[in-house]
Amino acid sequence: MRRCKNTSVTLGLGVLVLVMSGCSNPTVEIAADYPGFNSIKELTAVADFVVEVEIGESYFDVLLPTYEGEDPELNPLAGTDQKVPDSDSGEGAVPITVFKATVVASYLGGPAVGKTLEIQQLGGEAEGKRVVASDVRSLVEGERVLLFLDEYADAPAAILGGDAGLFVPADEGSFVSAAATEKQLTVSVDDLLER
Amino acid sequence: MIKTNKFSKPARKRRWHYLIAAPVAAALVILTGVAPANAWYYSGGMPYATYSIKPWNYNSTWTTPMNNALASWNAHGKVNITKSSRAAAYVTVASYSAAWYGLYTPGTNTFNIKLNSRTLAAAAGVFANVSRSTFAHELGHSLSLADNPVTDSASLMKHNRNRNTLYSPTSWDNACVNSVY
Repeated sequence: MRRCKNTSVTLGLGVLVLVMSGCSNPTVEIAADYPGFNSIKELTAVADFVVEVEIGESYFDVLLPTYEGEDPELNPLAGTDQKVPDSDSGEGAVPITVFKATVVASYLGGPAVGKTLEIQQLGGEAEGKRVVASDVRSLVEGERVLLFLDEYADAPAAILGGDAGLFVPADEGSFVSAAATEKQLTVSVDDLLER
Repeated sequence: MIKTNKFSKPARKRRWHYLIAAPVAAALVILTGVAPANAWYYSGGMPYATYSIKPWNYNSTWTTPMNNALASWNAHGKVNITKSSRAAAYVTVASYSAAWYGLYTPGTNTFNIKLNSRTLAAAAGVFANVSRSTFAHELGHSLSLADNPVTDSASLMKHNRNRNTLYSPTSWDNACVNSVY
């Protein structure tokens, strides 16, 4: 009888595990390889601009792949007889979340104070599933952050290194890295104004 | 003196405890999202270190470093990644207006990898080394290795590695794969 009870408990828990697995929200955890930055100097050397912004609303979008030019490094199809995939097919699309942000302070050639810009972060929605980037700190609506950004003509600006270029206010006049796993750095407004 | 063996009642009772504890632990992992304690473990890896991936048809500027990356993992005794047109796993190389070099997306017993030609073509160093390092890194995810492992050892999975010189799995990476598969 006792053996029967143990068997029932085990089977019951097993079924519970299976049911919970099936009921959990489908989430895909993607992982990206970003350049690493070991100093503020490295970040500022690569950034198109640096801004302090207030993060606003966000929406989901996708990045589509492009194949242009004859440079074999830039265009992996150059020099081959392969056809460029139809962009309307959505093949190779990468889900992103686009945040609207209002510029609070601008450094290194960034947009004027009060201007709005769009910032992309990896992850969003694809095929009915939530897609999240592992080990990358997400932007949060309403927060003020300092961002080292890469600018594109055909897409929202991107934070360097995933979140390596994402800083939050610390002591007065300084910011500390908010990166989930990257090297922790600190930068002051005075440092930025000097550059 | 009472002799016991693994089939004696006390031992069998402990085995029942294990059978109960295992699903409970699994349930806790699902409920809390807590992965194994290893800081290098990535849950989106393939269930086996032997699997197939669709062949790639790009120019030799890309296929050479990609093939070399694949070969460097296949040098690991437990890893055998082959190319097959019937495979579900695949690689896309294209230009993306984004800051990442490479991207790994897991599926159910499959995955896809994207390599960003825009950022890799602009990266400092020898292109063949940097692109090889990135593809080998992404294949590392397929073998359950996470980004930026907490270790002083050199690793293909660290973002701040020198991609121009570190483009093959290190002994530390290999040891991690050994402990998973």
